[in-house]
Amino acid sequence: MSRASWSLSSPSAVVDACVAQSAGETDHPYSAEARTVLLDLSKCRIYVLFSESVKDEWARHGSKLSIRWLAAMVSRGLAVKVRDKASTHLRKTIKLVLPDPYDVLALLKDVHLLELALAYGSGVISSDERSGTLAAQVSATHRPLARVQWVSPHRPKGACRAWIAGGLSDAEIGRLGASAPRRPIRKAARRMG
Amino acid sequence: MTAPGRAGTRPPKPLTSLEVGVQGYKSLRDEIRMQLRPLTLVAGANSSGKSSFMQALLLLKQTLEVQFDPGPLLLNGPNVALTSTQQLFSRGKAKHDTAAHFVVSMNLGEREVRLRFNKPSGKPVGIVSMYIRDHENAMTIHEGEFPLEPTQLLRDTMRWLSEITTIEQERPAPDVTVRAIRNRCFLIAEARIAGTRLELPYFSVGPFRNALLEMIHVPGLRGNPDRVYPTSAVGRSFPGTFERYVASLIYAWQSSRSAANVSRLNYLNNHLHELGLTWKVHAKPADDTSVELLVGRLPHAQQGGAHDMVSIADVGFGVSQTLPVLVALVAARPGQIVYLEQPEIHLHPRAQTGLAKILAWHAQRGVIVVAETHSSLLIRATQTAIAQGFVDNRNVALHWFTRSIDTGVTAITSASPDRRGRFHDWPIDFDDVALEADVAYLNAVEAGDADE
Repeated sequence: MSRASWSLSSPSAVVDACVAQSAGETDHPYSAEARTVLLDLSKCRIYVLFSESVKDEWARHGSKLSIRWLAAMVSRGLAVKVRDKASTHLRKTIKLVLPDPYDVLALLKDVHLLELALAYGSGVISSDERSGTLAAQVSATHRPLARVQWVSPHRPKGACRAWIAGGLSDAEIGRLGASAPRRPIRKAARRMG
Repeated sequence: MTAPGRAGTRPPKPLTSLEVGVQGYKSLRDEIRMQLRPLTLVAGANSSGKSSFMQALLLLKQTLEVQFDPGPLLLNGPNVALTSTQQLFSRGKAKHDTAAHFVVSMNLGEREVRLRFNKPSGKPVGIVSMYIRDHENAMTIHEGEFPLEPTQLLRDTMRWLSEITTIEQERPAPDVTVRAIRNRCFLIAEARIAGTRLELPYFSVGPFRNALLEMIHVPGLRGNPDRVYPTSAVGRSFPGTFERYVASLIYAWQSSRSAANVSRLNYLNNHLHELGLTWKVHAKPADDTSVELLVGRLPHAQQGGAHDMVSIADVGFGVSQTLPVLVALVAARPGQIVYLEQPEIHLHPRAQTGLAKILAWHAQRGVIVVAETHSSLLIRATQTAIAQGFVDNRNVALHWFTRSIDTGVTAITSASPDRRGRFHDWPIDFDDVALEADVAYLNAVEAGDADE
């Protein structure tokens, strides 16, 4: 696959810092699955988006292994620096839709991942299945969220690897809601550096 | 065409980049072209053809340097040691599947030369043709022939002769024959005038010849450290491999306390210190034929420790193996090619990253540093030097060699870094190997823990 530079139509993913953290540990079998996914992203030359908030999370939870992986991705121009795109509407909807305040806090912790996915048409790779489930609940009300893919490196087994191997072309894996029309992507991004 | 040496009244413009092509040599079956920029990193798996590529240039260098005429190519010399022509020409699986030609080309932008060698059955290696281009003028020359029209030839010849002799153009021309003859690995134009032979400046191979003669070669095998080193003459060029000149060069810099030499010694000592190897190197004549190299016993200078020096043979390999690399870099002038095989060998990983900055520094001052490396740290530190603005990304090239597992033929992937040091599309490389090694280790630990 040959891609000289990032464009808005390029398939891309946002990787939750929990995957980076897990990859540097030896928690069987989750850590090995997280590492495999990171290696697959590199081998398949998938662009990975990093905003300030994602970078901060990675700095807090990343491991030596994830730093080495990130350096390799930056070196190849596969790590793309983007701006955070806070969505007041989404945040309000989360607070309105989710009855349990702990659930609200849990999803707001990861809302920046959803906002990037919405703004740049990216998928999300996260081991946090609770946030995924909550996001799916919110997508019933906040319809744009329905097309976002929240993919776990662990379940269903092999699904994330297949998705990456296919260049993120399978739009159904991990989709948060029922089929929804694709929305145009608004803002440009720039490579990390 | 410009005559070689005609511009001798002013120093030649330093080389800033050179494109080299090699075809038909060892595993380089198809033509491989490589841009040599001030900092050129050559990487790839073992036996992928990295060394073979540069050997093509080294063959020409040693052919030009040897005292006798070895024919078009000196196969067994100080830089490249081949014992038969079969080792030179690319070959396939079948015995008869051998490349018909070995071609080396050098392109300086405005000037280009392409040398084509062959091996006729039962005869030694010969030069088939030399293509030469000088600006828009290009011609292909064969030995014994001459490509220009007789009238133009005679007019040019007489004009040149009139410039260097007392022959006047109005006088009847003497009987002149001109043909291309071989001069080592090049073809030159030779005039015969009344039995006298005279080299004519038709084919401007001078810049290529100079680049080859001045190329510094620091081989991967740099020998064991010795108590004393034979003295050698030192000048602008260093015939053969470079390590034999190191002790004498340092001694020459010490002896002639010119500002330039003091500066060179300071750079050398600073580089050694930056790499954590030692703080000082000193050359001392042991007798009339040899020089002893002393180095600071400790990596950093200590108060009152100015004389705390020991023989280079008594310290770690890192010093003796890295010293030729550093001396070559410091000695080289802008435009001079310094070919370093495995500059990082015997260096601690931290020192490898420091070495990258030193290579970048000399590249930035105009030396053409060609480093063949297996060090992912050296490459990553070079990327860092680019991102920090320490070296201009346009001065850096990275070439990755691979070899087909089916045919054994070498292929090359070249990349130019952007301003942030990113190489973009790049084959699976050291990054992956190091990452995969980490992953394999963590997986093994994880599996072991799960079994318990």
